[in-house]
Amino acid sequence: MAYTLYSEKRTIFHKLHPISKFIMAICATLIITIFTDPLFQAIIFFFGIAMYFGAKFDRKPLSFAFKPLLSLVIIALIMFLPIGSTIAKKNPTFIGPIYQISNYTLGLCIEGILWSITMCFRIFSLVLYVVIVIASTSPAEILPALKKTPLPKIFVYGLALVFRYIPVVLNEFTTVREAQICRLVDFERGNLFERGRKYVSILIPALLVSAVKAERIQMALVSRGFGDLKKRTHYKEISFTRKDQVLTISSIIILILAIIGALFYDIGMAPNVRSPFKP
Amino acid sequence: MTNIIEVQNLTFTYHGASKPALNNINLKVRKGELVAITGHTGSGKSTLLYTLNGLIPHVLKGRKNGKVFIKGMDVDKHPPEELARTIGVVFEDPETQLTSLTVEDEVAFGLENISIPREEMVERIKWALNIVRLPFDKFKNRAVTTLSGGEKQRLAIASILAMKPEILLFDEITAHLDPLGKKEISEVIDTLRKLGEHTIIWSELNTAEIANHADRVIILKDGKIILEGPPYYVFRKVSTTDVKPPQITELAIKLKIEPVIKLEEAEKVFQEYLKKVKNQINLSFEGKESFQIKSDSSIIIDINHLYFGYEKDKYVLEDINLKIRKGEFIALVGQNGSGKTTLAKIIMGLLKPSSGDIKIFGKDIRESKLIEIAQHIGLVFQHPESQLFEATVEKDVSFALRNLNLPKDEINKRVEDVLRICGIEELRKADPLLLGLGQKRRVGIASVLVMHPEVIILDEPTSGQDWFQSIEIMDMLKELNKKGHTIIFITHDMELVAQYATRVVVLHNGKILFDGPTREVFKKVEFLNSISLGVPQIVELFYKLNLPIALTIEEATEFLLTH
Repeated sequence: MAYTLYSEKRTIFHKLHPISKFIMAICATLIITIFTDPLFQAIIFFFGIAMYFGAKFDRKPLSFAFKPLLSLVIIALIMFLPIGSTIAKKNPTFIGPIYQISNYTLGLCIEGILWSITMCFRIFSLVLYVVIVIASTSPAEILPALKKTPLPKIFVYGLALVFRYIPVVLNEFTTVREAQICRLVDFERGNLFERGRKYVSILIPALLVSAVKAERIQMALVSRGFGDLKKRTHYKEISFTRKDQVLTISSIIILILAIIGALFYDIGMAPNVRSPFKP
Repeated sequence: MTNIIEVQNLTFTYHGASKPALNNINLKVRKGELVAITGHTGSGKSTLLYTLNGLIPHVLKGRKNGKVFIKGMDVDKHPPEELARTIGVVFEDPETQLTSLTVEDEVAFGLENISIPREEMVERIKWALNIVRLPFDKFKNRAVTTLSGGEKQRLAIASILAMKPEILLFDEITAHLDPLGKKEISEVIDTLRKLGEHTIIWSELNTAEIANHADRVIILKDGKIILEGPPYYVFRKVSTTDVKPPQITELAIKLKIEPVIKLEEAEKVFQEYLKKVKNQINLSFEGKESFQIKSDSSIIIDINHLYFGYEKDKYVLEDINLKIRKGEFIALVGQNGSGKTTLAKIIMGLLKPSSGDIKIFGKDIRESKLIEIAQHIGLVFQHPESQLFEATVEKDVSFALRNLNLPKDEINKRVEDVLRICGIEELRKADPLLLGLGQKRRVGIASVLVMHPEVIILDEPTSGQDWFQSIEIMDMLKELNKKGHTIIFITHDMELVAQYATRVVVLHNGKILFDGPTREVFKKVEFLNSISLGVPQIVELFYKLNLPIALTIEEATEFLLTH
């Protein structure tokens, strides 16, 4: 059974409006993307960790989300260490053997090491802030929260259905896959084209089943009066409290300060490292 | 009493279909009635329900003649979303009608749609969940995906009840449920009858259930009403080729005694009969045992102390010990979640056991590749029709053989043979996706059979099929068994178990509670009822009459008929 990150708790984050948490996560993501200095990345990461454990979340969602990242981090280190010299603004500080490939001078350098550390913190921080939002937001809260946004209602209800039916569709795919394995389809063998061809035996049946289910869902929806979205009443009302306002405003202010600091004062920017935000 | 539903000369043909799904239907339903509609799969039962709540013609398109009036409203002029306040429908598949993430949101969904104020919603949600026995405080925050099939269907009923429609349409609402789920729904229908606030139109295949609840029965055949009236009248009159009446009714007709339709009344009637004929019948099954466990055959699947869990220390299967011999015809029974499908997948090599040993044809399953196991064992998944994808039946059937890279001549010969065995030779060039459900299922079975497995495991091969289609499939399996194939079928249908299996394995909460010859299992009526698996009416009747257990109508008739 798939492990869901959300857990019923009474942390401060559980009491917040999903939208304010989304805004916090978006601001954190932008700040993480802007800063290139590993020290600042570490501050953001450990601030997130302090928030997480300070709010008394379970360890389980975080360890569940972090475990698969370890291999990603190793890949980041392996990839960025040798090519680190390419992201240096000026001459990189090499501390090991140097290789010339085409126009690029590659090798272990200080800038590469800093960049690799930054990337590792970035990956963990991005996941950490998303886990804070997901672990504290019941999927059932998202629909009432989105209803209050200017998003088109049909999109919001469509999204709610997607949430509801993702496990059903995934289950359908798994069953069809297993059935085709029993009919001796080896999905692990063959070149890319052959493998693609094998997946047709899953895709067509699964899509057909999904199409039939979609028609039935439509029938069920209209049979329960789903039609005029303007006249709908709402069972759940989630209010945007003072705490939500504080979180939203402070997140935006920190983002603005980070942008100004990085743009005009080089705060959070590693020396001699290029950034798409500030080349 | 006033007519709440009136159908006048209704004919409907689905877009692209060559013949009408409904043909000149005339029907009047009085307020407060429970009308059951039955008939073969494809006889038009669901279509008739869809015309009542406006899905036809507003959502499902086709050619429609005639009129349908709900409380005097012409359905043609009122779309289903407008009629939802008056008429609610619960569909067959609980999975495709629940649209929200939690129980309380699901019930609230319909109320939001019809603009019920929030304060009133809370009361209605509590009331509706209470009626279907899903207590509000316990279930309100439960994720819909974590509910059992029976709970999901009860939730679907609650979400309709909360909208307080006067008319309820139930479209084969127990078709996807296990015996426990069916029993729960039957209790909900009892509660609704006691409430007496609703008119219910109920499409259903189980005539014993219909007999227990309905005021009136309508039999549909090829889109026409062929018989209509109170259950007593209809089940006595109907041809057994059109509808399978309750077992006790069929037995009473065969014995030429007063026809009964409910089990409670059958006991008395049959006791009277026994008093009259006790000197003329042989009160023993000695020498009549048609099924024998093949204890002399070789063991082909040997399972010892098997444990399996998806999560650490949480076992779905616990200490399973099972020896399957060549040529057996085994029924694997149990509620949903008891571990039947998991066990089948482990035998097939799709799941690896947590601990314990499994030997398939003497070889440890851990040392076998799936492709090797598939040479010996074929697994037919539930709804095999939804795994078909090729352009023709023969291509779909030959799919596994092409994956084996067999020579073309060999493939053609095997396909030819298997199409004949499954009785689908004439469909060779047909598009499998355009076939009827029964035919698709045969194609699905053929596509596994073509690999020449010595053991065939079928996961609910008859689900969603009417009795007559089920019998066709089971007869086909019986023929394969006679030819030497070992058959293991997973099912919830205890009538099929009694009629076909030579051995029954009862799984409950991941453990084997009983494993033995079919008649021995059915002697344990109280045990089977205690785990809500239930027994066929004939078994229950013979148990109540203190007679040796008969498994089928034929056996019972032979036993009780005077010579």
